[in-house]
Amino acid sequence: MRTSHYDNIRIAGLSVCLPEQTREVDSYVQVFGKENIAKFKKMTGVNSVSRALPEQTASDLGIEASKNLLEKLDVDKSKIKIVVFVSQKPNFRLPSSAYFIHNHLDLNSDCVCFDINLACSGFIYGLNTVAGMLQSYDIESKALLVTADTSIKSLAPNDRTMSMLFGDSGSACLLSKTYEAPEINFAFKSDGYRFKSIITPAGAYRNMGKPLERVKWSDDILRSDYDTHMKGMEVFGFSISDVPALAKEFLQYLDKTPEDYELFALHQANKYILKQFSRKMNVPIGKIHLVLDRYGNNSSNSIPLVLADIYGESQNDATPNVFMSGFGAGLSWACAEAVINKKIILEIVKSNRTYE
Amino acid sequence: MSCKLEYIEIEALSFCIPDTSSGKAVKEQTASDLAFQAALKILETDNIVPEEIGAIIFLSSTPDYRSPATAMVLQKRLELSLDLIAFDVNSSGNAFNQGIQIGHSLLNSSNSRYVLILYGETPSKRIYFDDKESKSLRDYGAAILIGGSESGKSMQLDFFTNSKSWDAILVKGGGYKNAKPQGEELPYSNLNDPGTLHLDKNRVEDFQIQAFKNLGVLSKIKTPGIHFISNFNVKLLNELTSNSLTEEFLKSELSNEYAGATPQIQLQDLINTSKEHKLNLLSINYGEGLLASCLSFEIKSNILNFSLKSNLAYLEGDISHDL
Repeated sequence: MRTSHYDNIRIAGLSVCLPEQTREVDSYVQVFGKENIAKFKKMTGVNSVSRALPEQTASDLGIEASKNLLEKLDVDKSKIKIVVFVSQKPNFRLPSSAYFIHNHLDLNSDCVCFDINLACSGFIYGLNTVAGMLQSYDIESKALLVTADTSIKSLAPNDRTMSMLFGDSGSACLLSKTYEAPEINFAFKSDGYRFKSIITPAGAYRNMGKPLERVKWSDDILRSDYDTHMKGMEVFGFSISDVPALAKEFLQYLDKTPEDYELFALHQANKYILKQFSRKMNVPIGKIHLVLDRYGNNSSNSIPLVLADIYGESQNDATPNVFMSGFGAGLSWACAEAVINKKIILEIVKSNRTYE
Repeated sequence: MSCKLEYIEIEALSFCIPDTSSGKAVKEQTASDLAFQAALKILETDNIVPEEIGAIIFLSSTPDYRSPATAMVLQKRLELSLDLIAFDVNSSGNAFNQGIQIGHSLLNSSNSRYVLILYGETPSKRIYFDDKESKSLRDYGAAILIGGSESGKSMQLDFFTNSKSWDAILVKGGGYKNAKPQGEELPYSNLNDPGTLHLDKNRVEDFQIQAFKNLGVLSKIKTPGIHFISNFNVKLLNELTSNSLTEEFLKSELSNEYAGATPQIQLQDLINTSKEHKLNLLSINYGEGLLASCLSFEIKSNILNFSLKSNLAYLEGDISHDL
């Protein structure tokens, strides 16, 4: 288990932006049939998913979340030295969308920007990366971590296991370097030996020039190599065994138990997987907050969405201890624990605004 | 404002180019294939135990897949431990300096002995307009192994960003801005487009001048005994500073056709030819974003230092349909 630890980083703000529209799972009845829809809803717990407009990008949602955060929390933008954008849905191959975000937020020139390509584990990896980078900057320096995805845009339309599952959203998380702050701890694992488990086979520089036409795969679903494919059983096995195993090891390492946490903010893979996590970790199901029923699986943005959904309207400045876990493509998974002031988590905003 | 990278030492450098007269990778070969060969050479030579590597990052604008991160594929190919932080960073022109900054943060904040920074580009796989400079860009892969050090001199790093010119170096395609529906309904993407490099020469040159001034390069290069490694257009800067740049700085313009890896090539050449026990360096990079960075650091001249050629490709990565 790879670990890291910080005692001088404060999570100073969190804002989430959803697109204005959702799509009801029931609206797919014409495509997949009543029986399949019922089975899907029972297994995953997803009733509707948040859905970006075709012209709306992940960075648009990230910018809206960031603007809300900077304005509502009255952030001194000159202190922001790092902008990291975690997404699998960037604007272009080059440059990183982080520069596009930096431009629209009108940030200072002494600021470094880049994109990280990670999926559902991305929020925790991103948090650790910016917290680590802030160590080399002066006290009061700040970093903006933006996570956003519009997963639907790489899914085959008749892939019932995927297209009804994923939702779109963006978030912005502000970190600040201070003299003293409550501990933030992390644990990481990566398993590239299973890199084919969730993959978009074509569309970058391996497998170039593959045809766009969709053909029937062995599971009877029409796909091209530009569509994302998930080996369901393999990923399911990973989610209910490797993920809780790391969480257990992490708790042992910290000498803590589930009782030490008010909330388990987990990646919203599906309801069954979250139930298994609860059972294997002896975490009361009430401590695992669900958003997937209304917004679906939001990839790297699942954890911020959970936090904003449960604490976003809170007016008090209680500081619960929160356990987080993100897991997905790579395979890549991670856990973190942090004390977060409820007051800095903003109410969710909705927007369809696009940026040029 | 500078950031200070402490307790870090560069322990090995390795560089790999295609074994072709054109400098272009062979058809199946990707940037990660070249970076893989560069990394493998370090790991084999230094007998590093996989468990000692705590993180691997891959910096590139030409990754293997849109998802997952190519760092994961490299983890498998290099047979690294599962106790690993692994991800890709989209960075090209500033990959050398940015890689060291990110690698430093992962090394110092985690229980890792080493961090492996890999980067690479295959510009030959893109479509070019009639821009001579971008057409001459060559394919490469590079590896840097960093480790902890209590005694090493800290590194100093400054950045200058002008994101108002974010589109001055732009590779359209391969993303989701202005995406088109693929097929009847979804998905919306430009993934099937390998991308065309658009380079606005005037804006990029203006930026280099701005960055040169803003980063205080002119005063830094007057430090006695300092060596320069850079992908800047040095001739242009010399003209602008009324030919006031030192001879040492002018020599740094060796071969800009390796874009973001130019500083590493220059550094490896310096190590090969230097008689100094330690080298003091100033690495000045610029690239897309637009971003420029200035890193001052010290390096021992007896570190592992490899230059390789390879045409090997990872055929297992050519996957399709039923996987």
